[in-house]
Amino acid sequence: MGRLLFFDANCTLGPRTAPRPETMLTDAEIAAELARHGITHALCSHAHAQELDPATGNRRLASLDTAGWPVVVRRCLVVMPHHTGELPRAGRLRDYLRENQAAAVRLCPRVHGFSMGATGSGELLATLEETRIPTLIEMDQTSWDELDDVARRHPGLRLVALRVGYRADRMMYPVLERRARIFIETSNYVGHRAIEHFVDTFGAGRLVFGTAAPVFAPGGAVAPVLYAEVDEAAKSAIAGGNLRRLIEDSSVGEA
Amino acid sequence: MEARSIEARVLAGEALRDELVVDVHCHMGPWAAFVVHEGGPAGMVRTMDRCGIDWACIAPHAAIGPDFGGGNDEAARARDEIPGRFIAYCTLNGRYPAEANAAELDRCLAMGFRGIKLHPAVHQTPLDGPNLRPAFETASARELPVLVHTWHNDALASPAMFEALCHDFPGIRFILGHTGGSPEGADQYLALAPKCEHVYFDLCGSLMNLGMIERIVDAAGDERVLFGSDLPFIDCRPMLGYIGFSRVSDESKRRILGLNAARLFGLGDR
Ligand SMILES: [Zn+2]
Repeated sequence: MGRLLFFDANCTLGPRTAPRPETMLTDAEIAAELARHGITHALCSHAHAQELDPATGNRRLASLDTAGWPVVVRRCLVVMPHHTGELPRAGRLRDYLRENQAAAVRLCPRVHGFSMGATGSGELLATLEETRIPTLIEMDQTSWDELDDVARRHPGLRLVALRVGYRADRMMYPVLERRARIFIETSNYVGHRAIEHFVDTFGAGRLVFGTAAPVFAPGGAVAPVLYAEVDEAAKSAIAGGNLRRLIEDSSVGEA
Repeated sequence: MEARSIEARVLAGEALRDELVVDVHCHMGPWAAFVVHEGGPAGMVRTMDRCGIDWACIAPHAAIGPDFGGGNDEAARARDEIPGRFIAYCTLNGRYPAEANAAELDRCLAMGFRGIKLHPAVHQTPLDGPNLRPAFETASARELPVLVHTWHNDALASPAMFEALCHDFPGIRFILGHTGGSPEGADQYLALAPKCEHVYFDLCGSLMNLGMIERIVDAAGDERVLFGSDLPFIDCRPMLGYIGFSRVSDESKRRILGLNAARLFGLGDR
């Protein structure tokens, strides 16, 4: 078996509002820490896009010089609805994503105080659906009922639920049975044999490896995949293949 | 050939078969709040084998929940049905009378149980309440490990309570559950390290912040830190990764993974 190539779907760069001292790493140190765990690629957002202002944080993410880092950084822009004029809409949003080389986007509706309902986010979600760009949302920013509703209204949207917890299966399984394009990031999906049971139930194509670095230690994220009792093809899909495929399937890069 | 580091072996996904690995914080069986896949003894051993975990110290969920006697029986059965893999904690419940707890401890010790498990938060009863004190007398006289669920700001199992109890019952080997589970909890409970000689810190938690193991080893020394995972409430594989990739020496990792627990529970090398 070859070495697993891990592609982290959930990394945050930049200074945070209230970091614990142990986790206060520079961006280059974060990259080195990921590389030490066998991670070769990372989809990163900027903390300022989450904790201050999406436009500002996305600009800072795009201006990072990551050449020479031991991990290839792919950009995950934080977006929100256009109505207040903070980010562009529709075709202009597509241009914005392309110009900033967005491999994925992230929504933070609770932190940013917007609705995921049809009135609040319908147009944004329709644009994201059209572009097929992976759309990340952390579970503390939404609920399974809300994701179920969003996926029903936007069946083409590629939703990646971040930090799905070890207690989620009773809520999550029925939603995943109905909604084929919801994907699960694994950093907090640490129930006993949760990966094995997920793969038995839904196949290996919907699990996406992530670390939630630098807040959480990547060792706890890589080990469940390294030690998963699933076949090698499933492991490599979870470690990075699924995320790679999702990013390649997006049309954002096309002019 | 040069011996490979534990980190390299975890990165390769290898079971640590030639190391002594003891998981001091385990449960067993179903739990109310969520599905526990394959939570019985066979499922647990399957996961333990994948990692190279020799021993799991168990307090079944039933015992933590509404049936401490039945849960203790379940622990004894598992230990006897799959020999050499399970060490049983006697779970007590401070909600029940002192005589009932003392009698249950006697019953468990007669069955060969090796420690006590307490969960003041679930039982909604303080660790230092009167119903547990007779059991503490026995535990102190026998120098038993007593695993206690702790969490930051846990008023029912506070650092001040441990400080008083380790003074009153100096023979008890308190294992503080979940020291690695939250940085705030570590801040609060690690302050006990210099005050109580026989307090141990279990790393267990569903997540661990970057740098936590290094911090706990710095504060408590590597001889008082224990591998605990909450198996099968949570899978044990994340904790193997946290320890495997932590920036402490392999000698420290071996102590944390099993050598310290072997001393505490009186296990020989296998
Ligand atoms: Zn526990």
